Parts: sequence; C-alpha cells; structure tokens
Amino acid sequence: MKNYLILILLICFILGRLEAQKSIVVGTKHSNESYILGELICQILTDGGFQVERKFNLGGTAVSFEALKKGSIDIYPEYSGTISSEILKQKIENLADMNTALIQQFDLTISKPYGFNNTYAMCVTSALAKQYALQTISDLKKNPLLKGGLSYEFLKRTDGWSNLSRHYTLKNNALGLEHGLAYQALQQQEIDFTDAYSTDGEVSKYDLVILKDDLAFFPKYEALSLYRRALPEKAQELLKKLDHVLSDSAMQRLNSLALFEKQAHISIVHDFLVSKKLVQSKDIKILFKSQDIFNHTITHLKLTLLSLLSAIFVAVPLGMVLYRWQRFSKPILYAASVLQTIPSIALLALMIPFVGIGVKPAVIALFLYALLPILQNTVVGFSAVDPMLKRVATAIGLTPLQRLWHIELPLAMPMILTGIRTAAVINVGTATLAAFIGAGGLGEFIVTGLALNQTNLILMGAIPSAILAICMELLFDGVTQLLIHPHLRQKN
Amino acid sequence: MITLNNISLKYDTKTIFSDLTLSFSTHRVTALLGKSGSGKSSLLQLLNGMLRPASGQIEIFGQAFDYQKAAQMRLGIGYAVQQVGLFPHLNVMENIRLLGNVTQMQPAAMQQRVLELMEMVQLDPSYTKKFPYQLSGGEAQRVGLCRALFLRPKILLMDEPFAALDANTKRVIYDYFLALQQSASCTVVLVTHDWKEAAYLSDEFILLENGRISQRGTKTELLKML
Repeated sequence: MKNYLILILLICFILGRLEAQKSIVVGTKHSNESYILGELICQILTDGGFQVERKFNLGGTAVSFEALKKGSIDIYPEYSGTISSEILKQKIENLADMNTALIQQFDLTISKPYGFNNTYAMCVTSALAKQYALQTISDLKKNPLLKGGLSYEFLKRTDGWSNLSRHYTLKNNALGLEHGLAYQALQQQEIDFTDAYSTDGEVSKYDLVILKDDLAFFPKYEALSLYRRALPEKAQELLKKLDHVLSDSAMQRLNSLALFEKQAHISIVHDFLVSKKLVQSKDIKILFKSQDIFNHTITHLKLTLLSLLSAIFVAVPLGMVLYRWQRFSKPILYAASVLQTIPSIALLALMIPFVGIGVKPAVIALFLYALLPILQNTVVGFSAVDPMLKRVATAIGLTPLQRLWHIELPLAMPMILTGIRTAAVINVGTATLAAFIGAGGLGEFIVTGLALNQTNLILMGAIPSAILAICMELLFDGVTQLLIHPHLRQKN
Repeated sequence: MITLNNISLKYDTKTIFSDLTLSFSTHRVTALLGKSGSGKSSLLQLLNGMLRPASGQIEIFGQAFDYQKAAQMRLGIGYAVQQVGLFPHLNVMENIRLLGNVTQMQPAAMQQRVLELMEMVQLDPSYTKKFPYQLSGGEAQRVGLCRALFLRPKILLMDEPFAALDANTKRVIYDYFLALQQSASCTVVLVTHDWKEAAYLSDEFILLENGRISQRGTKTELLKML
C-alpha cells in the first residue's frame, strides 16, 4: 500500500517536471488588474505557439518575485514603481537603468511598458469637474473649500496626502475614509475628491475624472512584464506585441468588465487582443486538463498528510510530556493557541522570509495549525483518565512507562483521535490557501477561478477538496473502529 | 512474615502513624479493623510502597522494601480494592493477564492461568471476551481477584474489596475467596470495617484506633467480641 503511494507520488512528480519543462509558467499577483495582465501574456504566448501554465494566485510582490527568482514562474506582470521601491530598493525612474540593475542583480529583465500608468491619482465626479472647471491637481488649490475623503493608506504613505498637499501647497481639508466607501461618498457629494488608482474600474463605472498630476508628484507605476532572461527568444519577441497597447482608460475599461460585469478574464482579454488584431480569434475556454485535477489532488493530499503526520509525531509525545509536567502545560498550550489565532494568509506570508515560497512554508504553516488541536486533546485525554485506574495500575506493579503504554495511552486515545481528526479537517481546508504562496494543491483552481470569474475552475477545486474532506472523515471512522472498542468511543 | 518497624507516617501536617511496630503472620488472613480515619487504608498502602514512611522500615519476608524497585516488588504483592479498578479498554482475559503481559509470560501459559483462576471463582470461559462494563458487581470483583492472584503473589492486599456487594453476592464470593486463599496459600491483609466479614474470612485481627493498635487477637477472640 505504502509502496503504491510512493510510486504514484513519484509518477506525479516526474509528470509534473516534464510538464514544467515544456510550458512557460506565467504568474500574477493577487489582484484583478494583475489577472488581466497575466492573461494578456498567456494569450499572446499561446497564440505564438507556446504552452503556458497559469499560476495566478501568488500573494503579493514578495511571493511573485521570490517565485520568479527561484524559477517556479518564468514571467509575471509588475509595476515600474514597485520594482524600484520594493525589489531594487533604490530610486530609479529610467526604465533602461532599471533593466540594467535587474540584469545585474537578479538575471531578470523587463519588457517595454504596456502603456498605462497605474499610480495614485486624485479623482472627482465629472459633474463637479465641469462645475469648477477642474482638470489638474493644481486646480484644487483654486478651490480650497473642496473637501477630500482619502483612504487611510494614502493618508499615511510618503507618496500620499501630506507630501502631495505640500508639493501643490493645497489648503483643502481631507478626512480618512474606507476606500470602498469613497466612491459612494463622492456620488452623494459628502466628499468632493478622493484618491484612486488611475486604472481602477470604478473610475469608468462611476464616471469620474482623474485630475492631471501637472506638477509630477506621483511616482510612475507603469505596468510591464518582468521575466527571466532564459525565456525563449521567440517568446520575448511575442511579448513586444504588448508594448504600449493599453491606455489608462483601456485598462480601466477591462478592469471594470471583470469587476462589475463579472465577465471571465479569458474572454475579456481575448476580445481585447482580437480587437487590436494581436491574436487570431478562436475558441478558448479550457484552462486545465483533467490530469491537473489529479496532480493537484495529490499535491493537496501531500500537503495535508505531511503536515498532519509531523504534527502527530510532535504533538502526541509533547502532549504526554505536558501532562506529566503540568507546570509547562499552560504556557505551551497558550503559545499553540496564539499560533492558531494568526490568520492563515498572514501565517503563510510570515513564512516567506524564512523558508521562501512553495511546499515547504505551506507544510510548516499547516503543521503549526495542526499542533493545537492534537496537543490540547492529548493533554485533556490523559488528564481525563480516571485517577483511581492510574493508582490501581501502579499498585499492581506497572512501571510508569508500562502504565503509560498499557493503560493511559489507550484510554486517552479516543480523545487524541478526535484531536487528530479536527486537525485533519482544518488542514484539508486550510491547504487550499497554500495556493497563495505557490504551493499548488486544489486551492490553485479555487483561487484562480475566483480571480478569473470562472465557476468551472472553482468547482474543479472545490469538489475534489470536498471529496477529500469526506474521505478524511471515513478514514478516521475506520481508524477509530480499528483502535477503539465501541463502548469507549467518543460520541459525536 | 511482614513487619513494620517503628513506622512514622505523615500526611500533610497530620500524623497518621508515629513509631508503629507491627507484624503479619505468613499464610494467614489478617483483618485490619477500625473506623474510617483510623489509618487502616494507609497501613495497607505502606505495605506495597504506595505510601512511603517518614521513618522506619518495612520488611517483607525478611527483606526491606526497596523503593527503587517498587514496581518489581509490587509484582509479588496482589492488590484488590473496593472499586475493583478493572481497565475499561481491556476485556476480562486481558485484564487478568495484564501482569503476565508486562512480565513477558508465554501466551499459552497466560491463557491456561486465566482459565484456571476463572474456574476457581466459577466464571464461565465465555466471560473472557466480555468487557468490564458488561459485568455485574460480583463478577467484576471475582475478575479483580483473579487479576490480583495471576502471578501467584505471596502477599495479597485487599482494601474493602467486598464492601460494595449485596449480602447474597458477598456470601458466594467469600467462599471463592477462601478457596483461592487456601490453594494459593498466600499471606493476606484484609482491610474492612465489617466485623462479621472479618470474623468469617480471617485467622487473626488487628483493631486500629487513631493510628495505634488498640487490640489484636485470633479469630476465636474476634467471634467472642461480636
């Protein structure tokens, strides 16, 4: 049985490798615009005859860049401002200089910009723009009574409100506001201007006007492809088709189609590329092959079981130790509880600086989550053993170790198994989030499906993971039946 | 002979025994009588090292109790209590032969010994597969006795083993006990508060009062006192 499992894993691994060698892996960060840009890259490459694999769910800049550096992905869309501030960590405006620095430091390179600049911008309703003849940010200065409602982040950032108002010597008042509410507040004239990203879908949806940054305050966030220099020549040639194809307003429109009209990103991008005569019109729908479902399920199982087994091996003995030395019990259980309260995404992100991305941090994070239920139930299970039975066991001549093995462990076992079962169910669920740090698994379908407005993809992830959860329950029913006599089983 | 020499025992700040000296005759059943709180259960627990005296020494057949090898020593001392203390996850067979398991006895020998003991207390062999929750109080106590005697201990300590049983069951089980004791010819210390029980089962008696021996004597003397 075990040999078969190893064999299957090995085959999957080899198949996975072969697959990876043939196709170009396209990554994106976790944002709507990134998905559209990633899809642009994919379709341009596919049209040129390349096979692509989509990894559209990498948490943020740190994860995507790490993945690119390590070669888990070959290319992903990035912004020039982010490259200089977060990757190179030095102020470089000129794209040619930026490229040189990337080549030198990371053996990575960038394409020409796609054409739009997704930076912070000040926007107003078109009615207000007409009323006050507002075109530039300097025009705000002439109307100091106009009131701003700005996102908390923008109020704090160095390229945010305080420096902006100083740069333009604005006297306007501004208050903090949740970004999602700002657009409505604008409509209801509660506020007069707000900050936005210049390509936000909301800009076109709410008919807003972006005020020109006439004194060039905001850094440039030009979108472009960031990729490994090992990318095939021909692919690099194909990417040039994307140079300067998207204006700010075109990007706004594509964003809005995905966000508000819930169109699938694939067709949005396809229609756009066809309209620009960049690709041949054809029927594109399927993203993943059935073999991928199998592979992802195996990866998912691997993530779940690996973390669960290591948690069992650590938590059960540790639980026994804590039960013996009660005074360590509280602090360690508290520590495990604290781990449990860290949101999964945050815990996954915290791992990145230490162990990078991929399977390793995912397994560690899942392992940490599985610790508490097993640890807690082990301690409780042992503590709940009738003291009279423990005394009798000692009095008839069992050594402490024999007592543990023959009496306490079997009597605590139902409780321990319940803990392991809880941990297993948590892990099957949480493992779907591992996709955010590129660990693969069924979460990849779900996250990508959610990102690309593709219900079929979501189901491709959700159904097998539901089946896995049921299998897990059945497995534990079997184990319980095998190990625990009926009259001692936990009633649930 | 089991002897306690100049034993002192304290529990928290309370003195239970001070400078107690006492012995139990070999191959005899000695009843330890006394009110609750007189120290009779504590005395029993001193004998198998579950309680350790503040001073003094316990000698078992001329050998001082070795607390480093307490578990080893206890294997030679059978132990039966009122709550029986059968392990709920083990069936009757597994409960009785548990000590055989930990001393690496041959399975066949264990099987034989279990059936032999069960026959003496007239438990049908079909009971081997039953679990403690399926037994009546009297049956459980008989299984407890079998477990206590499994390794043929030379000493058997009993702490009110029959107290929870009804009168009819008691009568039957007393006879099983006497039969077992005679066939095993072990030295028994029986803690009880029931003078009639003591008179029926024991050869000698010791009456404890506030940690001191207030009276001791033979069965005949006890019978006169009833």
